[in-house]
Amino acid sequence: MQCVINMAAKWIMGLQHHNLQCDVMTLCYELGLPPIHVEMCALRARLAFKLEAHTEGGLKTWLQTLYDKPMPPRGNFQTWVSLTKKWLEGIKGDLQKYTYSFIVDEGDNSQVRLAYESDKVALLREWVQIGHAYKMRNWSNRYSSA
Amino acid sequence: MLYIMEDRLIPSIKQYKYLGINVDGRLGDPRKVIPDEQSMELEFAHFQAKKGMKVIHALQPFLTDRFCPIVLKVAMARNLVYSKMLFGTELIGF
Repeated sequence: MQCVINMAAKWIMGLQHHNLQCDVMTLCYELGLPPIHVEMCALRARLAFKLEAHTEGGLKTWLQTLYDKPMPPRGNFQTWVSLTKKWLEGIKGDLQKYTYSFIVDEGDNSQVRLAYESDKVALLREWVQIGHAYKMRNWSNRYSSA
Repeated sequence: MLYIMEDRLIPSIKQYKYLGINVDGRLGDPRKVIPDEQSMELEFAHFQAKKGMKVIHALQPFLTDRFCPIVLKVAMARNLVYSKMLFGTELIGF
């Protein structure tokens, strides 16, 4: 799926689809096209939060029932619900970890230190926040498409 | 399993499409890799990619047009290609 986006990004910039001179991730970054896996993570987290929130009696699908009463673990059998819960549990620690800014102290004792900005994280919706945390874990820059 | 109604057998199918997802026996464990067979998630990803490919080929004259503003082309890709490919991708997520 990412290949399709890569091809579209190259065409947009007037390149051939087999052009290798240009890094596609950088190109997508410049064009503001988010990576497909980040979008998918955000969608999955969004659905999980909808199921978790249980607003107005929850979703009117079987998925709500399955989410409320997941199947007991049986060996390596991993359902969508169990995988989602495991993933969200695993990523919980990273939610605020990667939202930081560099602060440079001026003067003789100039130093660079990291400052965490929990108030900025709170502005994002929860599922976007998870997509954001996932992205920041995979990448090492501060770009956000949220 | 057999389903019978008024002494008649109700035909059962092995696969059907619901909300863009091909539901079959692999739904219970969508990541399980069976030898000589794709996992459900991988098959779904290929299916979505094929759909996206169809859309960008339809948009090719527009995307490769040098006189069209890049912002417009990006907006078109985001609205037409992403939305088409991301339909039902809650299934494959992370």
